[in-house]
Amino acid sequence: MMLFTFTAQLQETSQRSLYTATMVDHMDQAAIKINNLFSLAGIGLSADSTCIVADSNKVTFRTYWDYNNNVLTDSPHSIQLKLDTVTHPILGTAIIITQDGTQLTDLGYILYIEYLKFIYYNKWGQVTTNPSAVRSVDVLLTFRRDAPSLVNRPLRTNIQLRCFFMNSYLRMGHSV
Amino acid sequence: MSMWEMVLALFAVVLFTSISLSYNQALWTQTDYLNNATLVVQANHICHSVLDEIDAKLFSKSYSFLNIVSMFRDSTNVVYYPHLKQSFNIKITAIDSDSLGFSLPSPNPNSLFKTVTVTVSGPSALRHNISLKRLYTKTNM
Repeated sequence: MMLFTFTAQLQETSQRSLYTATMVDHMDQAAIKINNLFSLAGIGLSADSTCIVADSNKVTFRTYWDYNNNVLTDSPHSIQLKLDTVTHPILGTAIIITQDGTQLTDLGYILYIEYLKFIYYNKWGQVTTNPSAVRSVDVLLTFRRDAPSLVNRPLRTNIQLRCFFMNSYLRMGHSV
Repeated sequence: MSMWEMVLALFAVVLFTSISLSYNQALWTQTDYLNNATLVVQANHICHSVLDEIDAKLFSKSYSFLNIVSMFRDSTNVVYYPHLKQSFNIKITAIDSDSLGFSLPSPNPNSLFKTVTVTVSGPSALRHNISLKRLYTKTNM
């Protein structure tokens, strides 16, 4: 009986470890993706007109960078990050990233999200809700995945990162 | 139960207890590694954020290139991250350096290169400090 118990315990723990390890990697990749998106925001636009929507669960900004083809274009694009309204039973909720209303081909989804919140800051580092004043964003993410056997004990990992609208700061420097 | 059987039973109890302890220790070690891995990712992003903030403020001319060293000679802050419910110690060190990021034999405020190092330490689950270094070059003479 003890051996059975130990074996079952070991199996559950090894599976949880494997799941968590993949989640840590997923978390890192998601953070890199989001930081990459924000770093190219506002190219070719004034600092005040980069961010156009600054909600706690949705952000929209403009840029002349085309994320689908990784090139500069002649017209600005509208990029939106938001949490999907639908939750998949296994994959959880997704962050949907769209460019001009169409999901990005390679960055279009970030899966296993349970919680997403944006907190916006102006150029003095003060919290703001005014889109034209936004210069940096705190992204608060919670990833959730069901445990392999004990589904009532889901695996959760949190991450908090600050992303800067670098091109807005660059514009501010040139306008001084 | 004879004496011999009692000794055998006692031996079995000791054996299974030892196995149980070693299992539990392995599980705790595994959990510790995973907690550490999660915090390594977070600490890494904190380092990036701090360096990105310096980049941004240099871009906007809120910071002056020549003042980086005096501003961050040896700055230490404890920052609380509410979403993680944990605090991290963030140490920022800036030096006048050569083009490879090595410290100059004697400080030179007019050096064309400054190296900023961010070191994050924090909760006990983060086993080792995480450090990132960025070399800044003066391009506008």
